[in-house]
Amino acid sequence: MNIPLEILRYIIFLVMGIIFTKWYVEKKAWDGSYRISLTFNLIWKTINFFVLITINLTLEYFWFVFLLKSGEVMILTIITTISWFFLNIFLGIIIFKIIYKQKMQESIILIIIIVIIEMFLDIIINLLSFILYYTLTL
Amino acid sequence: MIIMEVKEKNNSTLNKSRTILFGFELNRSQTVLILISSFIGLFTISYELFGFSIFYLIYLIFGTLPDYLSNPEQYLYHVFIYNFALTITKIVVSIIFLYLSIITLKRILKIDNNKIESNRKIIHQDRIVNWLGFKLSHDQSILVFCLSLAGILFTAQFFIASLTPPLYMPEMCCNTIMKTPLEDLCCIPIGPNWFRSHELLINYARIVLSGIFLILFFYSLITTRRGKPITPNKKIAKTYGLLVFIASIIIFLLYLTRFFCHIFLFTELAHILGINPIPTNSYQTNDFINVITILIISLSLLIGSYFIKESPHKEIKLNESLTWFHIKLTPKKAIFLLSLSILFIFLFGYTFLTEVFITNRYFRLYFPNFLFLIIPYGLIIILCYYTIDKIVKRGRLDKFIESIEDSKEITTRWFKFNLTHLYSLIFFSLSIGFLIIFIYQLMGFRIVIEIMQLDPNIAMYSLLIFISYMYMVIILGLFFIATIYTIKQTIPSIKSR
Repeated sequence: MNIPLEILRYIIFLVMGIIFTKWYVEKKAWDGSYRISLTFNLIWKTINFFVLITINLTLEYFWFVFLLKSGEVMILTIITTISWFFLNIFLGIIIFKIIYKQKMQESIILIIIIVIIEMFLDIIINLLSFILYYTLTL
Repeated sequence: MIIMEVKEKNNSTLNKSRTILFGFELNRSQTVLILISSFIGLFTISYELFGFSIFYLIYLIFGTLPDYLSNPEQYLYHVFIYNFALTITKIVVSIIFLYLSIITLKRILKIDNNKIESNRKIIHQDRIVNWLGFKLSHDQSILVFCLSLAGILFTAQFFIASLTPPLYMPEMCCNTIMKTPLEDLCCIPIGPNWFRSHELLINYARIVLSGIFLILFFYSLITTRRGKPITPNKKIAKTYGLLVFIASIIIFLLYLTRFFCHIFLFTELAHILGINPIPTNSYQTNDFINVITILIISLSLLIGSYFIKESPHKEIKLNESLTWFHIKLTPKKAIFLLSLSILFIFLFGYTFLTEVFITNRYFRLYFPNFLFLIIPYGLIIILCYYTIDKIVKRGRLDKFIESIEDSKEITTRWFKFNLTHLYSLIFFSLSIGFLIIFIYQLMGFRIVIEIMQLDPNIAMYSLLIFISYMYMVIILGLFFIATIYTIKQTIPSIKSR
């Protein structure tokens, strides 16, 4: 696990989340202040960040010893990606409900869109880092 | 007098609600089913075309071609040509399907549909079609027409995919190398890892099989447009019987090819091909028994399907409530479920056929593997078919459509079209299905890139690979935008009462 890259991702996702939540909340005519948007995203992303790191490190500790030596990297990646996706959505919905005091179904579309954008950004960040690495080594 | 009045009323309702497409007169439920299919076609084919096929062609032109021209002796000429031919055929087939989907969608969504085709000969609803000994209703003849059209285009791909085996060895085939679908069908096991075949046999099999399929499909295209008026005594085929017949005839023809391969390789008839007969052993005998078993089963199903019939006019119970796995279906739930079932039957059906006849990567036509493929895919397809059949049969779909159209009409704007409440509901349901599929695709990309990141030999990847992933992610992003836009525009249809 690349910790500096994870922190960079965390910051990018946080900024994107704040902007997107504020826009959506204003559109729905709820409380659209930056403070609440920041609180929601900060709690959501921080909990998600630490839970993900814990899952990753736990799996790496136990799995690397037994499985990764035999080239089973794919299983670890599949588990973390799927758990990240569902955990992200679940946490987002719960925290949104607590902070904005809105019905659960109101937040589902917003949370899913944010998670999809995060996945795209994540892939693009990775690909850009590959391309940068590749052009620098040429 | 009363009957006349009712008939006139029915005719006026029919004229108001009928759609004419490629000469076929369609009622409301047929129009809905074709609209669902064309929407699925629009999204899946364009994603396949722009996300993969065109990109792969660019990759071949700018990546493989310069390498091949600079160092031709390192490449196998026929492998290079094979990839080009297959990609171009795939692109042509996709463009034809995409064009048909767009035309269908535009015609159904346009209000003045009848004006367009007023001068053409119309194929009316009240007819019975005689097709290969079956008596088909108008619904079934449209189904066979669509399947034949798809079959012609699929056969073209199958022919090209079987044209030049990539790593071909004229007489000996080993299961460790990649085989084309036809090579797989014509290679007979003679040991745990060894198969035997012959170049001439594969060439003849390709020509004969493609020829038979094309003749069947063209015959179906022509005969389904003809028909006789309905007579009350005549019984028509049941749809599932028809589908069993189509599946059985395809399996029968494929395994008949394998049967002839056995005969021409292991008996005295091998001299016709100019080769010496190969001595038989237990592996060959076991395979021959498997082939004979499959031929007997498929032939029995083929004959049995002729006896599955029903009366053309079935009584419709109007107050009957519909449940699906103990869930009571309201009209909206039924349309939602119907749309998703058609989407998944297309998706799994297409993946199944492509795996078996075109790519041949994971599943082989070779007997045991074929069964492993049929069981999971077959279960999903049967579940989807059960759902579709439950909602559509005995005029239930008409009842659901009527119920939705009777409620307060919502007109939504979707690109440059105005959607009715019913069409909004269909588009919403399909977009939810596509959202799930695209999220699955996105997760796939994320997993691949995470694995690439963990790979210590990352420098071994070429820049073209990273750019290709970037391109595919951007295309996927555009499809996400289109899907979310459709959901946003059509969501009022599910909220309204």
